[in-house]
Amino acid sequence: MLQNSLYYIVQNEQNEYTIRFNASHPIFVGHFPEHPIVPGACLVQIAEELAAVTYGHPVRFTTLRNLRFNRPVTPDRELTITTRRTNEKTFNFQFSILNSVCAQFTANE
Amino acid sequence: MSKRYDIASSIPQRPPFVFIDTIEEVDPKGARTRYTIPAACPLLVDGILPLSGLMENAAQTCATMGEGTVMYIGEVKQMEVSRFPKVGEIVCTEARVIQEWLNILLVECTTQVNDETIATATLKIATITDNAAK
Repeated sequence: MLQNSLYYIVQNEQNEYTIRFNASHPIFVGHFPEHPIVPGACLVQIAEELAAVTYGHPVRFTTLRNLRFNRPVTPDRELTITTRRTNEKTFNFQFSILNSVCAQFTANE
Repeated sequence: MSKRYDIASSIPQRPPFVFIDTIEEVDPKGARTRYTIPAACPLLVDGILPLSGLMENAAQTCATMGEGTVMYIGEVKQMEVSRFPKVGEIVCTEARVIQEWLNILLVECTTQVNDETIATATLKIATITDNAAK
C-alpha cells in the first residue's frame, strides 16, 4: 500500500482526489538519484488504491489501455486524480498538476 | 557462456526501484530479463506483484536496449495480465521491437513464469541520445 507512505490524500471531492507526496520516501532514492520523479508504475498503483477508496472494495487491474505520459510528476507538486467508472469493470483516470494533464489511462478490473 | 550485463550501467533506476536482476540477452532489437520478486519489492500488494509492478518490469526490460541512449516510456498502448506472480517467483520478460519510426519504438513485451505467459504489453518508447539528454 502506497497510501500514507508514498502519498497522502489531502482532499477528496466526488471522485476527485488531491494528493501530496512524501519526498523522503525510499522510492525517490532510486527513481532517480538526485532527480526525483514519481514512477509511472506508482501512478497506476495510486489509481488502483484510489479506485478502491471510491468504490469501497479492493480493485485489481488486469488490463490497461492508452496510458499516456504527457509530462513528469515531481514529488514537490500536489497532484489531482480524477476517477471515472464507465461501466461495471472499466475505469478512466486522469492525473493533473494545476489543470495541466500529466498522464491518463483506462483500466479494467 | 553468456555475456554478463551490469544492471546499474544498463538502466537509470537504482534500488529500491529496480525491477530486473539479470539481463540474459540484449541488442537494439530486443532484450530478455529475469526478476526474482523480492519480499522488499516496493509495489507488492498482499504478497503479489500487481499490474503496476509488471509494467515497471516490462519498462525496465525495454530500457536495457538503450545502449548509450536514454529511453522514455511515452505510452503503454495496452497491457493484459492473466495471473499475478507471487514473492519468490521468477518472472522472465522478453521485449521485441516491432516497429521503429525516427526515435520512436513500438515494443512488444511478454512475461512468463515457468514458461506460462502471465502478462503481455505494448509500449511506445522514445529514445534520446545521451548527448542530447545531457
